[in-house]
Amino acid sequence: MSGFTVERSDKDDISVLYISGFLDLHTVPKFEEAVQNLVNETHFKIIVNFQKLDYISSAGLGVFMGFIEEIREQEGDIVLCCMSDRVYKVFDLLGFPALFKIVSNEEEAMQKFNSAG
Amino acid sequence: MSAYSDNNKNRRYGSGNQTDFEKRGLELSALFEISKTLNSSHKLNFVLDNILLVPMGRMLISRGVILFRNTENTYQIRHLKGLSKELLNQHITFQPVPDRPLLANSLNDGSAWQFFLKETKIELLIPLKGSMHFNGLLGFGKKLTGKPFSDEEIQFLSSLGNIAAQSIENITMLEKLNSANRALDQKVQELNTLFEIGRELNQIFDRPSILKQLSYSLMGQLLVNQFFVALKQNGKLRIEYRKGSKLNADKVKDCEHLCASIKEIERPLFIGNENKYPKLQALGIRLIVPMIYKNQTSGFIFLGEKLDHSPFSKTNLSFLSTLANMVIISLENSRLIQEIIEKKRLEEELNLAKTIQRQLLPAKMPAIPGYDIHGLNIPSRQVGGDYYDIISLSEDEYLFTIADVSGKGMPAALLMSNLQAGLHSLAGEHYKPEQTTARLNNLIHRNTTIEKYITFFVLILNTRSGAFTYVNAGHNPPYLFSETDGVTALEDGGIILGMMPDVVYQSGSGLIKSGECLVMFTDGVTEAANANEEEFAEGGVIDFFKSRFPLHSSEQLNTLLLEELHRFSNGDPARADDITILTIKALR
Repeated sequence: MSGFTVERSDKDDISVLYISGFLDLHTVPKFEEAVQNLVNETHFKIIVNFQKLDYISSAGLGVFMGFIEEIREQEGDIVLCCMSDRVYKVFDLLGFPALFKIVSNEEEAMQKFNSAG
Repeated sequence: MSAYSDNNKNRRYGSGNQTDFEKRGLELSALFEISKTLNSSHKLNFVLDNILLVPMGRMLISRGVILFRNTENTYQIRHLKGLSKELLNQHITFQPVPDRPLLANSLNDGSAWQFFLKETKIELLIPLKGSMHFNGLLGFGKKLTGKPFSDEEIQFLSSLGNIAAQSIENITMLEKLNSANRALDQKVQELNTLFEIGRELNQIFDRPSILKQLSYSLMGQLLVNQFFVALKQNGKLRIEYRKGSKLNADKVKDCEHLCASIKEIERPLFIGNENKYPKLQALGIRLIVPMIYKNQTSGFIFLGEKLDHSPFSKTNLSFLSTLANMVIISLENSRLIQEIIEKKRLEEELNLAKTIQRQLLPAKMPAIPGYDIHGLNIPSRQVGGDYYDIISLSEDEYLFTIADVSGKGMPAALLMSNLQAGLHSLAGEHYKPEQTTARLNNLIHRNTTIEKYITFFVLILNTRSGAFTYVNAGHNPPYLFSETDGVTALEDGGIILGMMPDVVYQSGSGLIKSGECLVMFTDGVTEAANANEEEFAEGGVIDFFKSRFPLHSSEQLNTLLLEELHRFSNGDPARADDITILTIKALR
């Protein structure tokens, strides 16, 4: 089994989750817990940095679906950045670009919040 | 080319060769430019824009249209400039289909397509023909100069048409290929998801985790975040998992009854505007997917709309059906495994209870001079709470007891051990049986809930004289059999132990003479039933002993009674309850 890690770094009121490794059904609970912790702490402005993520399965995308409504109701959002082509392809195939902000770098992701705020 | 220009010089342009050549040169370079532009792009709209805008700009034409052939004679409007967007996607049937440039003013037979040209003020039609499948038409309105299209202009537009048709054909082929590739990739992604959950389901056996995995896969793969899962258990449908802000617990609970009314469905059922389940529709449910296990609908997934509002596709439905069936198999397996574990646990508990009970009963009969004593206990499968004991109080005094603790299994065994410990500690205090009983009653009452109680009989025998005193706290009356005095039931006492505190018990007394026999037993004996559900009853016990007690030893009597019970109930008499018999015969 390949590993999955998630690290968090807060920048003002924006929380960035750096995920790496394999995000699939097996590792999804770990990621869900990290997002749930942010929600519990009322951190609703979330950036997920995919730079070091090697693989994502549909179930991994399920985590975003599970939280997005609650987070947007709280005037927050999840912005995704720095995906490899391989990872982006999965998001694209499943129709996520129409529902989520997906940008190429972290500054751009930050701007999404600042311009919206 | 030269022939063409020779032919046409002076005719329309009315200028010298030099100018004519320049014009031709310009046209050729324009075609070359367009060709380069068109072939550099993979975007259909960009190409279509260019095909219309370049000539419109060059020749000052105010409107243009591009049609793609759908079927033999029918064309669909795919792109337009200077015309109402409402015309887009309209179908027009051409009869006959133009196969070379056609000027509208040359026509006049009042057919529908000619009417269309008139309405839209399209004056010139150029056929578009790709080298393989593509067919279309290019249409232009009149020039702003008011002059008619010249042959050269028509020739130029035809050439443009040829280049354009090839471009369009390439791009549509590419788009088809791309969309086929994408559909294939999506299918692969679906299969990966099924493969992944299948692998994962093999490793987990608890229901909440299984449903959680279903949830991730559904949300990620289908963009649905409103759904609930209802499963049948013991014939009843229960909602076991719920996700999404629109499906709050009360509303979904409210539908449980309704969901139960959905009978067998073999494949996913759409919930549209007109349907049998308006309440589900109001809740936002759009699709019901049956979960089929061994050809039976064992549950349903109720799905709301996709987050991007797109409809469920055919491949989505087959994905859902497969996923639903995989999950139900896994849920059923987990249920079976739980059942096996539970059964194993119960069995272990029963064995433990059985061991406790056995250890509380006397290991062997004490040798009391002048008496033949035998106790027998057959525990039932569930282990009832029968107890008997013989405790030596002094050289000449023995305490005999028999009791039946309410309940079965471990709780009964624990209560019985409570009683046994209490009785043994009280036995050393030389209390009268009514005092012992009253104290035991308080002990049991304090330590148990109201539905726990014990029927209890205690007897203290002076082995020298044969005199005894006893208390019967709600137990089946023991019988004293005598050849001279007949049968005496030992009934004096009071209510069962544990019902209320501070009960005052009466005691009874008697004498057991040589050759007489005293039998104590539990309700397992009297309630042993035959095929007609008739009980062995007190009468059975009395009849049995009356005729036999002088003839046999205590052990023989007990064994014979057990055999009699076997015959009577045509099988195991201890099926339902423990059987306990304690028999005392006076020999002196």
